[in-house]
Amino acid sequence: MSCLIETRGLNKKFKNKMALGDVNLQLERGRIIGLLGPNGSGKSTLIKIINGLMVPTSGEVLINGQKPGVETKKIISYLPERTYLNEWMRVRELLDYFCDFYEDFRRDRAEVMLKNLNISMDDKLKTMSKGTKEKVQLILVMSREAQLYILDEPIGGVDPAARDYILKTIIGNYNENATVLLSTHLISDIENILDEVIFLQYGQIRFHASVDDIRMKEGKSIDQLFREVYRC
Amino acid sequence: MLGKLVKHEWKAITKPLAIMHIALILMAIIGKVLLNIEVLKKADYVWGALLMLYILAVITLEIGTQIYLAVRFYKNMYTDEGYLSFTLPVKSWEHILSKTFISAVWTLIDIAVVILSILILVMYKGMGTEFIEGFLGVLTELSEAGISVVWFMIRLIINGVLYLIALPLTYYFSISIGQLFNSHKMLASVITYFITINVIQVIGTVVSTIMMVNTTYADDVITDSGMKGFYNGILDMGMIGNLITCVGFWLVVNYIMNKRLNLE
Amino acid sequence: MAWTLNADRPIYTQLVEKIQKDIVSGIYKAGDKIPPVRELATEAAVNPNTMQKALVELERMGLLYTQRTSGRFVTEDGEMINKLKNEMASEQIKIFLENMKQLGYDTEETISIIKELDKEEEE
Repeated sequence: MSCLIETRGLNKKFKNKMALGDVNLQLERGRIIGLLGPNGSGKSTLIKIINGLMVPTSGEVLINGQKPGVETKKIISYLPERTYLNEWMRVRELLDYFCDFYEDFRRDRAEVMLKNLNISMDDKLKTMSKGTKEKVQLILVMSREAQLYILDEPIGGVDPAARDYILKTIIGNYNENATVLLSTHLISDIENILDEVIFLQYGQIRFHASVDDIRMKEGKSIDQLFREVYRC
Repeated sequence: MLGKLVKHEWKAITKPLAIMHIALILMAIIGKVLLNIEVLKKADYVWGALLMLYILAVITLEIGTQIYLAVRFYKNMYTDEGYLSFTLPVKSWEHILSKTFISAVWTLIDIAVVILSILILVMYKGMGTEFIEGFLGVLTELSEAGISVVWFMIRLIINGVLYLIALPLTYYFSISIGQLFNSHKMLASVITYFITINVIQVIGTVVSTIMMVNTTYADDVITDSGMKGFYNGILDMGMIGNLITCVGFWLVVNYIMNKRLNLE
Repeated sequence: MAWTLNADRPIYTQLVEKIQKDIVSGIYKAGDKIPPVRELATEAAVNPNTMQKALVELERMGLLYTQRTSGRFVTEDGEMINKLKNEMASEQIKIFLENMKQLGYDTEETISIIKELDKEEEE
């Protein structure tokens, strides 16, 4: 079982909508993969299912050969699009929390990154700006030595400096046993750091290929291709 | 992991709750001090006003605490924080258990604090002995009526514990059912809650009425042996009923969390 | 500062070109050690696998070599570097002359313009 994530015939149907239709994917380790698609294309549904936050209607997903559950949650580090931390907690308490629940959490790594951003251990999330909050969440997620990092819109709504910081953190964290799955709209900003991209539309995979292959074959950037593919 | 969940649950809710409860104690102490001032002792309306204020405070505290516990569950499991809670490497039942446990503990503390504050306000010399005498008296009556004291106490405690557990589980159940709706989830939760407690009350009343009407009990309610049967019966029925509802709520909440989760 | 990369050409070929440029211009001298993959990738703001691919290509070309435990180094072969430098220069000049031709200047005229500009610079 070499691939990290495998989905077979994954379907998710809501009352009047087919959020995911027959999704078959195989994602290898050691890659930075972009999950791209317009709103409603099924990106968040797919991510929720991988994380065990939602149950598929049919089909299955295996992470490291296992169904979503306690064991897979141990090896997945997830950064959702929203602030998912209790805003009343201080940074120090957040570190305690992550240390307690995640064996693979590297506190020292997190402390260094926080220090570099001049974030004090006693700061409460509530007092931070949106950009700083996002960086804190990112630091917590990236300080885990997980096998799969799932980042949902990590650079949406932050200033360019923060964006660069985030991208460099992702690259700097790379190791060939782990995979990063990045879901985003802002393709041109992250294109260069992706190995491969998955295009989702109406719950189905339009295509899944490596960035350089696409550029070579199509003679254009992923961003341009995306605009063409989704032009309705 | 369960221990850690319990620890963090405690950490998360204790500060605000403790502040509210200490405030009540302070109120009681201040009240006691005021009541001891000779000048004020003569003025009846002072008593009345203080009493009203105090009762208001207690009611607010009680309702406030329970609402706080319910909202805490909702916020931590079904709003944005749910993205963290449900991706922790723990099983859903561990979440439910840790929260139920801490809620029960805090409800107990809450009751104890209220009792303490009452005692502070009304404590008088010899009250302790009177109380113990009264309690022993009840026990004697019971044993004379043929009711085993030990069993009575055990049942009382078990019922107490079940009550402490059933209280939060009812909120969790209602909130989780509310999550199944596509819109107006909060409203659905509140309505579910009211329906649930009413249904439980109705069932409870029906069952005890049946027991009352049942000839074996009815005739003997007045006699000693009948009392024994009635008490035992009521307590047992209540206990079993509570147990069944607790287990039922638990199973439903667990199921919803595992199979029907749909965080926004 | 992320390296400036063209959006519609494969990234790894551009990385190869950029590092070649760095080598021939002397930023990396013959025998110099180059930073590890991850560092280069972070600096360039590109995927580490892509950077690795570029470095492997440069190794294949003979411009870089790996020493098992110490890392990657620029070749000591000064001649090869010079040859590459000349090749890159010729390439640039060919493109330039082609562009000038499109403006209507042939090689002779182009050279005179260059001489003129050079004289002005010195004044």
